[in-house]
Amino acid sequence: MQSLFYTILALLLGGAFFSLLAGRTAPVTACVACVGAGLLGLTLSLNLLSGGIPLNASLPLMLPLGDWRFRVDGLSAFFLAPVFLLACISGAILPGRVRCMADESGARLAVARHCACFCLLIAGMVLTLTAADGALFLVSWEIMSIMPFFLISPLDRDVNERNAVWVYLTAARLGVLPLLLLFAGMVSEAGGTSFALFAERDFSQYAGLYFVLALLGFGLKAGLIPLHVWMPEAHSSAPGHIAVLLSGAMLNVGLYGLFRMILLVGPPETWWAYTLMGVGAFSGVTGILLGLVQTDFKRTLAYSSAENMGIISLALGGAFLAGKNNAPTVAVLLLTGVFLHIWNHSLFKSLLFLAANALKEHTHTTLIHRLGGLQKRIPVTGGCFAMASAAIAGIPPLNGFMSELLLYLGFGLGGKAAGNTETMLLFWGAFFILGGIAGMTLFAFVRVYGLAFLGAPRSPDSLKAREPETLFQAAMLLFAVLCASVGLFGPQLLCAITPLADVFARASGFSPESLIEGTALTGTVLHCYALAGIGLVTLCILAALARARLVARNGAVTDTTWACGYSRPTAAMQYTGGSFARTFALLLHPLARTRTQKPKLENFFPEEAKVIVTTPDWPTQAWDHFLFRPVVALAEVTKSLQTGLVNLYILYIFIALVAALTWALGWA
Amino acid sequence: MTAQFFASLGGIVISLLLAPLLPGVINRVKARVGGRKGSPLAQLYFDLRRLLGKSPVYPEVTTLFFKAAPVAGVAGAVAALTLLPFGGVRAPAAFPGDFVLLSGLFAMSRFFLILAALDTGSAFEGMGASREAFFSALAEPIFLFCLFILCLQSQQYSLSGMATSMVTDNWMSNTILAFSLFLLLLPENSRIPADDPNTHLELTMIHEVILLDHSGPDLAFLKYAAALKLWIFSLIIAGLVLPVPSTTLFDDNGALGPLGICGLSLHWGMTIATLLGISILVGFVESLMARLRMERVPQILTMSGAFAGLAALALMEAGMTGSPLGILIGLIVISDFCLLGAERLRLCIRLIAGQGMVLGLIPLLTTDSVLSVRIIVAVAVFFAVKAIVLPWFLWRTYKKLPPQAPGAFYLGNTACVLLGLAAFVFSLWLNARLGLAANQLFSQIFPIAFATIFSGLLLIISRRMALAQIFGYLVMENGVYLLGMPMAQESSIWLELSILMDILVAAFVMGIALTHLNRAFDSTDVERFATLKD
Repeated sequence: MQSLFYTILALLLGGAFFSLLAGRTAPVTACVACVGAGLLGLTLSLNLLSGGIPLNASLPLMLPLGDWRFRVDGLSAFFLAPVFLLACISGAILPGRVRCMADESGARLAVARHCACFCLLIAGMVLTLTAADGALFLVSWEIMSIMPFFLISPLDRDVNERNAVWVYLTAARLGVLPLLLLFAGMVSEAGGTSFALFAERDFSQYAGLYFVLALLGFGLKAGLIPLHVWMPEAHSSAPGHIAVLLSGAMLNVGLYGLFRMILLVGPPETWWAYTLMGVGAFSGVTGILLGLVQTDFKRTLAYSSAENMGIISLALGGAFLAGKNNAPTVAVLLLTGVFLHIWNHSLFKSLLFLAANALKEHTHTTLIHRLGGLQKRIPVTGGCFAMASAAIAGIPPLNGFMSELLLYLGFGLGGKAAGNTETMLLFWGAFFILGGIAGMTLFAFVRVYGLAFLGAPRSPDSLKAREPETLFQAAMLLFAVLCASVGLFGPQLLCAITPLADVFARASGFSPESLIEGTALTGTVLHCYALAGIGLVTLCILAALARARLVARNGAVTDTTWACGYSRPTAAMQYTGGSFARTFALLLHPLARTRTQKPKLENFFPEEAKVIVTTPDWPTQAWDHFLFRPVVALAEVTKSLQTGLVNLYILYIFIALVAALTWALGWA
Repeated sequence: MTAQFFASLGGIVISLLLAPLLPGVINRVKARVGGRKGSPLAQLYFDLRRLLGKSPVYPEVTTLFFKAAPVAGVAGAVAALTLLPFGGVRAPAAFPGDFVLLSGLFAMSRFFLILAALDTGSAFEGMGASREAFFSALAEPIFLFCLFILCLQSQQYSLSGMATSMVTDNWMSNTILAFSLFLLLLPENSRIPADDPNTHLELTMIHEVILLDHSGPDLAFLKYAAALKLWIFSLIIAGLVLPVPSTTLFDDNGALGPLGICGLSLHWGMTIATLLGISILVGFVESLMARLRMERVPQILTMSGAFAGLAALALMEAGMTGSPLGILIGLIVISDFCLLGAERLRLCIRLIAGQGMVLGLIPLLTTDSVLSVRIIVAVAVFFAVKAIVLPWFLWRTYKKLPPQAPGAFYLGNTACVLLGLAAFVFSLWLNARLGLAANQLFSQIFPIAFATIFSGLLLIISRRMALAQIFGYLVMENGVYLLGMPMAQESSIWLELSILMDILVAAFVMGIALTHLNRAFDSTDVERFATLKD
């Protein structure tokens, strides 16, 4: 086991190093390294999840303030599995992608550097997930955070991409500050940097402060609103194989950090549950609402990631609240739903981004009002996007509905089992909000898929769409098959997830015996859902056969239909993204904040005029107004200290010297 | 295979056969109310047979989603039938959490239907798709919540609990829930007042637009799926409204119970009769109401959600709701919500009269001692003033005023009802904080009283017309009266008289002021008051 782990690390780091040296063959080197590491890692993590003992390892290397100590337990293995799967798949499509990007840009692409940073990104994620030492955790976190700066905009095509990179970098740097404070506090209390020391130490004095710092730092990486501001820019500008890693794996690393901190810092208190539920509800609702008014549908995908992270946070808070209210069944249901949702989200979000990037490669646009009619041109990409849209919208019998089923049941039962009115209202409010979020997700993804892929082409851009290369299509089909079949294998997945749910439930204060009933109920629900899925598919096949026989017997004709009798219908008459979502934006105006710029009509006769409807990201504007502008104003003020005159600088040194001498000899 | 399993299969077969009858009944009722003879009850059967024999025409731009929508619709509806209990018989596919799957199956058919509409590339169908997606996104959480409340009563967390273990004490919660589900049935099945299934005008269509380009067997499948969806909704409401037989129809092993086949057929007959009755009721609602403006359709959904929340709270306070006092208090809460949601002044006046009547009856139920003459006289006077004199006075003032301009609100209807619900929840929380014993009278009345006070304040804040603000003031006085009532059992008469005096003075003063103001300024819009200068 340990040798396997070391091999994985060696493959990733070696792949990075050799890609830098390899030059022209860098993509192939990186591909081999990542695919190999991914396959080995999948076997390692699945082995650990299905009942292996936790793996401890250490390397006798130097690290400032800490040691190279690793520990792969159930929680790490759970988060490692999607990382390795995505590493495998995105590594496999890396050479094709790099070739496409090189064709497009010519000599501007630094292929070797791109591939080396790719391997280092995966290595950083693996190290973060397996670190058992505070300093190693921070170092690998930094590696993981810095690498996307090099990877997001390899072609540096326009100012939007450059802006995306800078926003990402700023957010990543600011996000490390709470983590530094967190680890500084924990290390000083525990007396060392090892996680084993943290686990033994009782942090009850400052536990609340640590929780808030962890929520800020890891929440920013996970993408909870209002700390999500980097996500729409970064995820929509990144190329396909990078976006998959960013959305499917890196967000999970943020969640892993939050989970690990809660396990280490101690039993969760009630106000932690309230905070998590509040943040989750806000993030979920605002995320999907901002997502469904976007014109660029890759931004919709990014906002939808924020919404899913919000759902996870809401359910985690609900599980801790159930812990405080002595409802073990509810806690097991919600925790199992959380973990299943994390895996499901990796699957369908990766597929969505892969299909979106396959589309963007040839059409060079992801604006909904310039697309349309793509399903007939690129059926494989379109079909995969449809499958992923159905999964994320929560359509039975796919995987997205499976985790939502458990969450609904958990919240509902929590309200019933609650001792006091507040908890009951919270659980039922969470039930209601989850239902609202699910309804809005269906709206958002029907809008994205239906308007971009179906109907008639709205502009010449959509006529340029082509299918991507075969390996890319195979990758998309693999994800599509996984989305479709995971729903049928719920009970098998439960075997892997139940130990984790038990760990968290015990951390909330339940004894192992009380969890048996909840686990049995969860197993029954998933088993029945799998059977219902098979039954539903059978019914669909029967209905389709009946319909096909009737249509064949009667004879079908393809022709133009009435469609309300327009005499000269054009494709531009179709609904666009903005018109589709207009009623929602108006109804929930305080959260959506759509701005409409109407022209002033001055003359009597009609002239050409423009109406511009935009939905800016209001959290970004809020941060800009309340944080960045004051800081810039302060910086402008202090700019007057830097005059460029050597005389003044020497004067500053003189003043500092005099002050230091006075203080050292006069007071100290 | 047990007898219960065969019975459940029989139920599914009956549902599949009889579902197209419901739209026929609705259309017949509408025709009769409109003075026409109407089409035959079996018209949908004839339509389906005709359509199944036609050859469909497919638009050129469509892909497989256009052809998949009928399949998904029918498969989803049939799968939903296997989850529902039919007339006292457990569903064949029941499991804990199946109510979520029911909502998910409707979501699946909706997903494919909306995509089929967008597939045609037509602007008209895009409009229908947008509206359908919007309203169903709002209706989905409410539907899920209603189903969950239904399952809450049985310990199995499954819809089939409705078949066997409905507790008769919860009849009030069941009635409110049935009403909420009926309000939800109207938009979800595209009935007036949410959608007009008869016209083909752009202003009024949601569901009919989506079906516009389908033809032949596809259209037959979609119409049949719509009929099945109506059947499923009506079946859920029927399960709530019908009493469960005191001895179960099937024992625990699935064999036929003591009531035998006769009992089963009688119960099934009653269920089918109730389903037809619900269709007749839908027909009457469609005939007597006009279709609402599109932006007011969310208000139906908000009212449905508010009543679902009330049903949940009535379920949790189950000990109290069975008693007459509980009924009256429930009526006060319902009238509060209706007042918050009502726009027209006439309806508000009637609701205030109703609230006054209920309030007048409450003292009769709360006094422990023998009803003395004093109390009876006080109650009679109070009843007369609150339920007769004041509404008459308000009606006269209303008649004298000019018609109310639309948009005379600072807060919309939806926001008012939602804030009212939030205020009710807040009152419950305050009640929990007070920590009184649950069976004390004060602890039962306190949350309602506070909720009424908050509703009155919300009415005053949100309305622009002075007359509407008087309504808010009266509602607030009702709330204060409720609050003081348990405390005033000793010196009841003085408290009542003082409160009455308060109300009379206020009403007279404001009435006189209103009449004079209207004569002087031709308007009682409070914004115009702000321009008064001396």
